[in-house]
Amino acid sequence: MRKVLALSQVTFLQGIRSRVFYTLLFFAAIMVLSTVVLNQMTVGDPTKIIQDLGLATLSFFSILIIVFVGSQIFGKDMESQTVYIILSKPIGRGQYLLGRFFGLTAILYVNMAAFSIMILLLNALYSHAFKWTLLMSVFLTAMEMAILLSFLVFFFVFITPTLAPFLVLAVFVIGHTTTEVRAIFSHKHGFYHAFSLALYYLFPNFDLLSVQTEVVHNVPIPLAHILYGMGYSLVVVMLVLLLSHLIFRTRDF
Amino acid sequence: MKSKDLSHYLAYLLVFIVLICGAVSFNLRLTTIKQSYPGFTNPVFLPSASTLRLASLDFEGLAADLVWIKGAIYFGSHYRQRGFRFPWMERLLNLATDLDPLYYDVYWYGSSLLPDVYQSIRLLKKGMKYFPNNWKFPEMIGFDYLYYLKDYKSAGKYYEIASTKPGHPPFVPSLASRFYTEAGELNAAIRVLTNFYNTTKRKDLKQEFGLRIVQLEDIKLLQSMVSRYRLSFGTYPKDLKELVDKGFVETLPKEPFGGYYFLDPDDHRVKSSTDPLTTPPGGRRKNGKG
Repeated sequence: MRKVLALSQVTFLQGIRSRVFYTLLFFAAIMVLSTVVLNQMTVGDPTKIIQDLGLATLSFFSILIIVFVGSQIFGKDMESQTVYIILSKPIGRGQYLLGRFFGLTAILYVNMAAFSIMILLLNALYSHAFKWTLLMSVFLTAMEMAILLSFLVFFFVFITPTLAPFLVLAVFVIGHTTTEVRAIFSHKHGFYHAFSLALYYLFPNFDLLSVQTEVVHNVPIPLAHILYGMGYSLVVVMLVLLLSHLIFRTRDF
Repeated sequence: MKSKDLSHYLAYLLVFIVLICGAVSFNLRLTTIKQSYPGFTNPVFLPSASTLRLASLDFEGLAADLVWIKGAIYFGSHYRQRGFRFPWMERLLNLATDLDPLYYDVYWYGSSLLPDVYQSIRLLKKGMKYFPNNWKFPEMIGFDYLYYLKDYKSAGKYYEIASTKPGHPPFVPSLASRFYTEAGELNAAIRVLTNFYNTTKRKDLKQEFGLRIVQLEDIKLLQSMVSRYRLSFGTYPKDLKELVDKGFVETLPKEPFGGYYFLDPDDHRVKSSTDPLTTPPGGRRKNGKG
């Protein structure tokens, strides 16, 4: 465990020092602050735009951080063959994957925490109250991002580093559309129906972890949703990391 | 790089810039000309709600915000054009509410932006489905029926629905009964008032609504006597005194608010001089006694 923690720390520092990370952070901050302008263009409750755009930005830039910062770190390992040096040390392949995974998760969660504070403050500026329930949505988004990070690890261990980020993006899109696609093809039979069902069951369903709209409208989110969401994410993450480990074990370096 | 090459590149760049500027200015000029044609509307690209929901990747709330902003801009950019019918407005608002059915502002403000009262009613009815405990939507529909369509019965119906929702002010059941009365639906009018009478805890309102119920019961009785009179004599009585003279009623009941009952010669309906929606014979006096 100590080795995993040490590697996570290194990964975290690597990510935090990355220029890509700060560039993304800068644009994300601009995007969140742009809600102030959008507020002027709407009619009605201004806080809805802040919350909607804030939560969407949080999610969108988190996935960009996974894709760019994650692929930069893994890409360097694979392409500049740092992975040989790391694995020549007394560190297991599973520990390597876990260390990288936890390090990237830490980078991501620090970023998400910073943005959550920003959204809460901006919202409080208009509504004169902190809307803590927004954190429920942020929490489930964090769970979703952990799943995507595990997929990043998975794609890196058996596909070229160039393709892996695109595949993670594909998982993000598929995960958010399977429910709709399944509904669209539910009345059809044959290939399309089977295909939509396959997508629905093979890929993680991010729709289940999405409560932005409900939280914005103050629809009460039961604690069970949060707990089951966490359970679902942990199971999927473990499954994908285990699969990644199995593949990584068979690879020759 | 030779200076000759450099000047070549610069010349190309210059020509390039000039051409781009030309294209942009022609575009702007053509756009202005196109917009000056009568009946011009900016084309609005509106995908279906299911397509947009799919493309929004579960950020339907944000997609709805953007559609709503587009609607507000669409309204703002055309509202000075006299006679402009906002052909895209209903679709825009429907799209926003399909994406985010709990978007209260779109129903509330959007219903006022729609140019057609039937469109407004449709949007508010949609809002009623998602806000079943909100009294404002049925009240607004009732207002539309009353003010724009002069349909007292439907106005009464929606005011009555509003009167069953929590938090409604006392004027809602009061108006519902008045509109029902105006539509000749006396039983419905009495039903609304009785419901409110039975549920309110305010003594002053209980007293006022109790008197209103008495008033409507009186009108109902007198109206049925007028109908019986007509069946007997084939004509309407000239006034309510004739009902007493011909023995249909012993005496005329006392109007509980201090006014009097009269038979409207235009529609042969019994009315109270204190009803603000009626004009008693001889005009209205300050004390409400006709």
